[in-house]
Amino acid sequence: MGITSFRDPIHGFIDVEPLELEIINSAPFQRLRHIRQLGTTYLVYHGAEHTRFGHSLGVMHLVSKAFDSAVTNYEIRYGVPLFSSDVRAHYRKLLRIIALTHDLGHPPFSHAGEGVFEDGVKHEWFTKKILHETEIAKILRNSSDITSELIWLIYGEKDSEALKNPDYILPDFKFLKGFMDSDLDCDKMDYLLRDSYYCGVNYGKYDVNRLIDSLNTYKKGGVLQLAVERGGLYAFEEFVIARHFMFVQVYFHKTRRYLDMLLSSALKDFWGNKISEDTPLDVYLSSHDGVALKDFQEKEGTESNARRFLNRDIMSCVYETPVQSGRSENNIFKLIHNLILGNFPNVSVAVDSAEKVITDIPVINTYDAESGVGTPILTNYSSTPRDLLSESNLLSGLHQPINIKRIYAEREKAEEIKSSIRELTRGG
Amino acid sequence: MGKALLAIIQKIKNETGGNPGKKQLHKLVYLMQAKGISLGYEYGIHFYGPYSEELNNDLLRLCINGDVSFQIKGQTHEIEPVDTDESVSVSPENEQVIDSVIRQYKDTSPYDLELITTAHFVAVNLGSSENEILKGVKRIKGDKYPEAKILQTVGHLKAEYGI
Repeated sequence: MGITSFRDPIHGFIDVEPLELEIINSAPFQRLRHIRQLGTTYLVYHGAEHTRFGHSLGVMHLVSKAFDSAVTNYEIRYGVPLFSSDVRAHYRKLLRIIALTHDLGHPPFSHAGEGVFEDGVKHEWFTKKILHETEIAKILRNSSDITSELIWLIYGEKDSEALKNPDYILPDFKFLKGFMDSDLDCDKMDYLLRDSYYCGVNYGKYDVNRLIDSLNTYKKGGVLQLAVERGGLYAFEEFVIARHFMFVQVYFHKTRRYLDMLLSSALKDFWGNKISEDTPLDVYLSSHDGVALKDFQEKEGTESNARRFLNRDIMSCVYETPVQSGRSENNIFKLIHNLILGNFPNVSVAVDSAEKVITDIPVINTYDAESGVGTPILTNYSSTPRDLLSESNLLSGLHQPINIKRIYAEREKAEEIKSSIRELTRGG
Repeated sequence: MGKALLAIIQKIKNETGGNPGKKQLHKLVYLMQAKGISLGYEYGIHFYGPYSEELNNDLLRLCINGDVSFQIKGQTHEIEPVDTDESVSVSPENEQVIDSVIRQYKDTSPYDLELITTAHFVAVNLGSSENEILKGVKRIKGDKYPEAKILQTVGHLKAEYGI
C-alpha cells in the first residue's frame, strides 16, 4: 500500500502512512467528522463548521515536522545526535499516532459538550477506552511496535502509574509528551490556525513555519525539554498573542459562552443522565453532533432547553469586566451584580467567568529555571536558557492572566438594566 | 483550597522574609501533605520533581482574584501575597503541620527540596525500600544526584516521614 494524501485547507497535502490510514478509516475515527471542533461557535461565527477529524490530521502533520526540527536542530547546535536513528524513527512514528488519536474521546460538540460530564470525568477517559477497547486496539496490535498501552502510557497516564511501568522511558517520554501537551504543543499550533481560518478571523494566525523551524531541545541532567531558538522569538511572540486574542475573541465569546450553557441543559435531556465513567462505550460512540441535534429537533415541541438552543434563544450580556481585571474591577462586578439582583428581582440573570475554564486560560509561562515550567529560549550568548518575558517586552502586558466576568439578563429587560448600570457607574 | 494556599504563602513570607518561588511552594505543600494534612492537591512528576497542576490552577485563581501577584526575579517566579482584609486562616491542626514544615525547610535549597520530594514520591508510588528509592530517583533524575546524597535523603525520609 502506498502513501495516501489528504487535502487540508490549512496545511495543504497531508501524507499518511498505511497504519495511520487504517486508523483513519476506523469507525471511532470517522465519528470525528461529526464532532464540531468549536462546539456551538458555528452559531456565532457561521464558518466554524470544522470538525475534530481535520484537526487530528493537522496535529499529526505538524507533530512530525516539529519533532524533526527539534531533533535535527539539536544535532546541529551540539554536534551529537539526540537519539539513535532507530529510536528517532520509532519516536516519530509513535508521536504521529498519538497526535492522530488524541481527540478520539470527545463528546458531541467537543468541550462544550463536557458540561454534562460528572465531576472529575474528562473526555480523555473515553479516549483511553476507545484506544484499548475498539477496532483501533486491534489495528495497533497488528502493527509491529506501537500499542494502545504505549500510546496511553506516554500521553495520558498519571505519573504515579506510568513510573511503575518498566516500559516508561525517562526523560524521553516526557519530552515526547511536550509536543502534545505544553505551552508550545502541536495541538495549539494547529487549532489556532484552523479555528482562525474557519471562523473567518485573523487573530489566530502566526508564522507556523518559522516557529517550527526554530524548535530545538534543551538537555540538562535528567531534563529533556522542547525549546525555541532565539531566532524564532518573534514567531513565538505571534503564537502567544494569537492564543490571547483567540481566547478573548472566539473561545470565550460572550454569545458562544451563553450558547454553551444552553447546550449543556439540552444535552442533559439528550443523555438522560450525566456522563460518567460507567457510560457504556458503544452508547458514547453512537453519539455525535448530528444525533444530538436530531434529538433536539424531535423534542423541540416538548423540551424548552432543546427549543431554546435550536432557536438561539439567548440572554443579553449586560455587563462585562475588562479582560485583565484586578481586585477593584472584581469588586465593581460584585456591586453591579448585587444591584441587578436587588433592583430586578424577577428577572432571570446568569453569571459567567473565565475562572470557570481556568485550565483553558492562556497563561504566559515564562521559563522558570527552578520549576521547569515554560519554554526555554536558547541563545548563542548564554549557556543557560532565557525566558520569554526577559527576551520580549512586547508580551509583558499580557503577563497578568485573563479575568473576564460577565452578567447576562433576559433580553427584554437588558436595556433597562444597562441603563441602571450606567447610572451607577456614571462619573466613575 | 485557594484560601489555605494563600495562608501558606503568607506564612512562608512571614517566616522567611521573602516571597516563595513557585518550585519552593510546590515542594513545601507536597511535604505538608506528606506529613498528613489534606490540602487536596494531586502531584505528578515535572521536570524538576513533584508538581501539582491543581496547585498551579489555584495560584492562577488567587492571581485573578487579586490575592497574589507573580514577580519575575531572574529566572524564578516569585509569588507575592497582596494585602488582604479577608481572614485567611487554616484549622489549628493543619496550622501546626504547615508551620513546622515551613520552619524545617525554610533554609533548604530548591536543589535539596527537589531530591527530598522526589525520593518521597518514589517511596510512596514505587516502593519504599532503600534500593527501590535509590533506583527510582536515578530513573527520574538521571545522574543529577550522587548516590550518597540520595541515601542520606532516604535516612531523612525514614526519620521524618516513617518511610
